[in-house]
Amino acid sequence: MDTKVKYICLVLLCLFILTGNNKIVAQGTAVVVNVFEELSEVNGTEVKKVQIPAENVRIRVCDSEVEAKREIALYKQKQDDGRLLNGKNVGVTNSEGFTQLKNVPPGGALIYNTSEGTIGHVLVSGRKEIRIVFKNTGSRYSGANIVGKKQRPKPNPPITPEVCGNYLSFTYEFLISGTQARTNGRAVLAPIAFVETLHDTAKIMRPAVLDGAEYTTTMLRHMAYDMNNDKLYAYLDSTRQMTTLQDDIIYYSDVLYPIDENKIYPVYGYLWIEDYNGVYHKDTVLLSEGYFPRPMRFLDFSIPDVRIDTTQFGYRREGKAERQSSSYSLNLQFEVGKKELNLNDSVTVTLLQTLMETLSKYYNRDGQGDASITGIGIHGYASPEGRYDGNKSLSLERSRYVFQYLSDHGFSGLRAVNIDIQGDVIPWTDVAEALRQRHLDSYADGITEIVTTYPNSMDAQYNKIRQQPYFNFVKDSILPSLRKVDFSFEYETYRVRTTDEIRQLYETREDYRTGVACKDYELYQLFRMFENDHKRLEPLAAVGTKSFQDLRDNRPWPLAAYYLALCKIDKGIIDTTLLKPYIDTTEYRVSYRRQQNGIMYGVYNDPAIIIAHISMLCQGKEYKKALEYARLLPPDDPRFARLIAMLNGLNCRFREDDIRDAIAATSLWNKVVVYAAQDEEEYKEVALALIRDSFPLDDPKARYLEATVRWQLSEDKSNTFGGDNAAFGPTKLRYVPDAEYMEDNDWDGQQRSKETWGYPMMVAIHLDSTYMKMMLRDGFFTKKYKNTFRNNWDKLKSQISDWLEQEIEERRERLNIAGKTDEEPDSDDEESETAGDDEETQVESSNE
Amino acid sequence: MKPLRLFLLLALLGCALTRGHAQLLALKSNALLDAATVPNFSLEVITGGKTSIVGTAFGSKKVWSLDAQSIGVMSEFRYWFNGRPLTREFIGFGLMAANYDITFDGKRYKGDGYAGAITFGYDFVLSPHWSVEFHSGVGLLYYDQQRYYIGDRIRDYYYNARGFYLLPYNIGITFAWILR
Repeated sequence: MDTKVKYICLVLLCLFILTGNNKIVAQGTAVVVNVFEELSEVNGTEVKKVQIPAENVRIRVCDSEVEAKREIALYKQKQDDGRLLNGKNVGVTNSEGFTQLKNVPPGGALIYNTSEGTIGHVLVSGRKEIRIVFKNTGSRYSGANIVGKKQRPKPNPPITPEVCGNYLSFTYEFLISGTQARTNGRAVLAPIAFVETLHDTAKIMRPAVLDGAEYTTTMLRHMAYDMNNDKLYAYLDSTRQMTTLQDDIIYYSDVLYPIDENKIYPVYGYLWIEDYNGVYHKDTVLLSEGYFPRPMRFLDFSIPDVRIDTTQFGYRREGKAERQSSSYSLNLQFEVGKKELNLNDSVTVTLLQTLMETLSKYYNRDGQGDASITGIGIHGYASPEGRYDGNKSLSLERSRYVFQYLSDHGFSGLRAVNIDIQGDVIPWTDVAEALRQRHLDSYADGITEIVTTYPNSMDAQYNKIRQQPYFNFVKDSILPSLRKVDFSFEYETYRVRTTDEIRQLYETREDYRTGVACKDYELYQLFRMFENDHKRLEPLAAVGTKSFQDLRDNRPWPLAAYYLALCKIDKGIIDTTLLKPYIDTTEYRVSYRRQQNGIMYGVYNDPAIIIAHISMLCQGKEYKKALEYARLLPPDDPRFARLIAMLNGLNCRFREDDIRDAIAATSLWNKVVVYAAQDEEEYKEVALALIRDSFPLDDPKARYLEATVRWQLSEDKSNTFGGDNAAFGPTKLRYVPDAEYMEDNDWDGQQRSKETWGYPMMVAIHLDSTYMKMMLRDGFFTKKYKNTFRNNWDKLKSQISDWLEQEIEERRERLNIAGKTDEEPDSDDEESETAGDDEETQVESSNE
Repeated sequence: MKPLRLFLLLALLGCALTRGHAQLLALKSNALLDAATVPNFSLEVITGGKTSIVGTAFGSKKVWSLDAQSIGVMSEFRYWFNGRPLTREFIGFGLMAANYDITFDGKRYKGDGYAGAITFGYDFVLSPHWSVEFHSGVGLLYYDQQRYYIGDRIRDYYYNARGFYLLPYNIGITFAWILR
């Protein structure tokens, strides 16, 4: 061969080796595919799932999941050139739902496509036998308009986000038309979420970036072969590239957290498409109006009431005997001129008994007890009317009488105690003060003047005062209370305070009521006393949490923290840090003591504490976190299994079969709610039937839910926006087709009944006007619905009351004919309230 | 060769004075020249967001069967319209200096040539490191040569022909390997 030719061939060969993208394709294998369609059968009020072999389902082999997704997107846009249906390596299932495919890459994917339009994909993952089960729901892709080539692109319609607790989840398929796209271009979609209006930004959400093929390559060069230099690289969809051959989709998802369920969060997307020279296309699109549906809004959700065992180690506190001092006082009333108590007076007798009982606790006759009285003060008083000398001696006699009485009644040992016995005559100035407290200032002024005139002689004061016209009033109303003996004693104890003592200290001392002066065992007793009185409990628990540590761990006293949490839950305060130190999420063990290096620490994962923590999280709508903690609870307890099912439902997993069934089993109402939340029509129809037959027609919550379900079931949402708004009247609801008609036209009869989605909403709002605001903010309903509803509401609201009465009357007649009453629910499937005698705490009210 | 050396120096100085940008370098070779057995090697330096400078050296002993010895350098300043160097359309302003000794049709041409030219081209991006360019241009060549019949006795220092030619310039299909 000529050297020149050899030389050229060598150069070309080298170029080929260096430039070619040599892809080594894995050898494919033969794979057997079985395809089944899952159908729902309605049997009364139960829905059963059956799987039948699916015939004529086309299965297309793809090298990878990326390719599969791309092919599906092209197919939906009718731009796949028939590859999905008739391309290479496409199999079709036979009457048994079976087909065999060859050369299937182990890491590839299979696209299945039914004649009804259901399309999806599964991964091969090295399997030789693949079972595909699908529900025939039509296209799985929504939100993207199908645009022909070179046509003016249609705008992307706003989507409805999904809410789970206080997470708002946005998933977009944003369409970029092929006329806007360039291979040397980059499209950036930057969404921003607002709160209520455009003046308050909730979150600048993560952008989505889509590059053209050439742009990707040159960008790599531009960034010196390190894409981390590209600030938008983290947001780039590296599985797709923009092309001019068809419309492109930017797949986007993000979460807004936390949100307030009572607010709306509109999202605007700022789109720009640029090439190397700059931006050549800009747009602002409304990605979401901000309304979101809350399918589990009306779920009757309650958290089981689990009480803490206060006697458990780490919670209880026992006091130590220590020397303590305190005092007690009481006063006894006497009759005029008497030096002895009237023992026929029941009040006096009761007071004496109280005094003696109290004394006996501390009276240490033989000096061997753990308490002793260290001092007594008996101060007798006489009222100032009459002669001073006589009154003075009377007051002393009264003191001595009380002392003698006690000595004669078992307290003779009091003589050994340091006793202070006194007697005094109440001065007239005290009488004047008592009058002032009763706002009798003129009387008080009169007495004060007399006292001032005769400062040194009480007799003279008395003689003058008794001449006053108000003297009888003073004698009868003020003076009796001044004839008394104040008895007080000081005592010392060397023991643990009893519950009664603690109670008494709490009642008589402010520093005990605030918990400041309490010792830990005293707080413990007070906790047990006021367990159900959260108003009294809260300050004590706060002090206990702040002042006392766990016995064996470096954390606050668990019992105090638990009670403080209960008080905060009562007040609606969310403090999720309070009980975290007592929960170990790494160990699925219940109420255990943590052990490390041979040392035993405190108790962790007490169910009562976990339940309290979950209550707090649920108040803040943190259902996802609550579910994580709920999994620490004992799994064999049906109450906790039910709680987990509820939390799963509130975490948007209510579509899963076992969770749906578990929620439905809790109560009839919950069955209605969870069935109404399902995507399949069969479940919605069962929900509708249950609402109509089992709940009062004048229950606004039930009617609201009925309106929601009817709206979702209605196929004809558009024609009622014109002149005929029969959807807002009750006539179709009363439609009861005859059996023959139903047999021939089963769909029509039921369908016409379903179309009346406006009237139940009117009833709900008529019964409770707060549902109007709920509906206007409900993501289930479109803008058109809301506008139409408002127009009809103004026209028809005056007639609703009559219609409702008529409806109730007709239902009563219908039930009477059927041999039932209004109180009897029609459905045999009514579930009783949850099993168990435990009182359930309503933590969350589901209504707005 | 003094003017040639001076020209080379100026061209290299021009490259050195230009600010290096993004540290991108490309090694290139014109496949058409290679096919014509004129080995050539180019180095392109990205100097800005839309500009680059190319320096080329070439030489030959024979061009196919033609007895044509040559050695030369080219430099070119390029402007890339699309906003990114080594991508899509560009326009180049180049200079060339070469020394040649060609024997053709009984005559011998030996001398120096200097050219100024304008080039248009299009770069196809093949992969992150590879590109292929299609380019051509037109240039004004000044030659200063000895032209005589083979067998004539000549004196080496006697340049007896000089002038200008308008010639096609820098026609080629160039493969570029882009370094970091």
